[in-house]
Amino acid sequence: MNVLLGAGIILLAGFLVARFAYKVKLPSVTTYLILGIIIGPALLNLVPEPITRASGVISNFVLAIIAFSIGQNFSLNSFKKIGKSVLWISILEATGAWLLVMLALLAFRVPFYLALVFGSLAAATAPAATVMVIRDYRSKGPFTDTLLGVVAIDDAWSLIIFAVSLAVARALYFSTSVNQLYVLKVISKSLLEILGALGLGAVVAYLVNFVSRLVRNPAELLIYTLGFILLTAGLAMQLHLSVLLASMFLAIVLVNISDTSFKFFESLRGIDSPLYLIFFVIAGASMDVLSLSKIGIIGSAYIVARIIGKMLGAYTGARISHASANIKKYLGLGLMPQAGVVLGCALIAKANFPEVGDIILTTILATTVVYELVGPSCTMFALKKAGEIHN
Amino acid sequence: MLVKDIMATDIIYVKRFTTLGSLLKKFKEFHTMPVVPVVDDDMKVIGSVSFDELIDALQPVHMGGLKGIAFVDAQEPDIFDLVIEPEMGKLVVVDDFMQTKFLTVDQDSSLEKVYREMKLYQKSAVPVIDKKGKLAGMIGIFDVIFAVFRERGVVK
Repeated sequence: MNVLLGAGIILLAGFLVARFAYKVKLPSVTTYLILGIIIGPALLNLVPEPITRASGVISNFVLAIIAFSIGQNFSLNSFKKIGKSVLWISILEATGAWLLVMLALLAFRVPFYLALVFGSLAAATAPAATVMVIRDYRSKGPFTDTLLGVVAIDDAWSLIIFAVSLAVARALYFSTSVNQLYVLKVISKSLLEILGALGLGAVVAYLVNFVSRLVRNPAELLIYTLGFILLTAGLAMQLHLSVLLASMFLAIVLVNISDTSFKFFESLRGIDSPLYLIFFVIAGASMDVLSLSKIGIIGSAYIVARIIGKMLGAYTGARISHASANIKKYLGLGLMPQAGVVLGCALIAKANFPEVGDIILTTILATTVVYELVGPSCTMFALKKAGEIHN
Repeated sequence: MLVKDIMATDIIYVKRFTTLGSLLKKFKEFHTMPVVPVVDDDMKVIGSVSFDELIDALQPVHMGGLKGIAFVDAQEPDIFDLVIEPEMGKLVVVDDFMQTKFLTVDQDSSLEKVYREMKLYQKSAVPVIDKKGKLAGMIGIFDVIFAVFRERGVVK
């Protein structure tokens, strides 16, 4: 099958399943993912090989756009509006899941760099599923508001955690000999990847702002914005810097130096949905059925440790910020769903560590399916317990 | 020709703590509610409101100030599905839903520049400010088109 035919089938099948998803009340991203698994090489084999082979490039591109969009929330003004509870809970539930999953996998003798990557993948949640549950049950109140705030900002923390962990894991993986300089080498290598990305993002942001007076109409604006995102991501890859941090920092600097930067973010709205659709289908299609049998222990440890990490983290965050008893007890439970940015991160991790790539991706895909089917019920249960669903 | 030559100066504006009820009353006589500038006590423009923001703010779930959250299914804005209670007329104020990222134009700008900006930002009307950032008037895309037609003698 040729690439165009495959892409056409992916888009139209995605359109149809999203309609169906709306009826059965599943977020469309979940159905795209399941569609990908069904039409992928494992089952129907309708996805042309060049498309699955491009998954690394596509996920870098999509995640660069997502990181860029997330960055717009980091203006000094909007940051002030985020409540203390949301800030504490989101930071601690993300790092809690990261730490516990990492420790759990280390206990099962998984190599350190791999445990680090898995841990960082556990930090993310799924805003789409959470928002869907809240909309469906029309829940309302302080618990709902905190939960929404947490899932909204959680993507930002999880991208940062993933980018930093990936930098360290790569440094660990590629620095061979173990001597006294080893630790120093790992630290300097990862710091270079992180700080370099921040510098790159900042420089490009000033360029974007300066040259933007040449842009005359919405079509040019889209070309201009996409061009600069690709430029930043491409330069980051070329220089071995973190693509995610560079794109996010591009946006963060941009919103803080320009009053009219909102136009760049708005211009992306027209193109993101088909891109996301293809991205999720490809993620699903990249599932390796053969690795599925190997992930039993890692997968189960990941699922259990992530739940505990999120609940403990959310509890601690709620305690520190003096949130209500309901938030302390149940908010972590509302954070079970997992989908979205984690799949892009898993695809990037796969591209970085080819030998273990299939295990990483397949574990994340399998656990995502589990979490996406069970997670929304947990969220609903948490909302009910908090007394914010009224029938 | 400059913006200040053709802008409307007799305009409607609201304050940050104008209630939803009095905002709606202001527009009872009009067919549409355009972009309305929000000003502080010194007449400095600090935001703008339009119907989109109002409907967005009253959706069962709205994401508040946080934008750019990936993969959340778009919610079709449905005025019939809003959570509306009578008390909101008094309890909801402009500050709750005004847009703080908005476009303004300088009164000394040329019409070409303003026309291009309105096209770029896809806005049909924008607040005009003076050098100190104070509200001076409003200009709509039709004002610009009309000025061009008048200059060419199509209308007197």
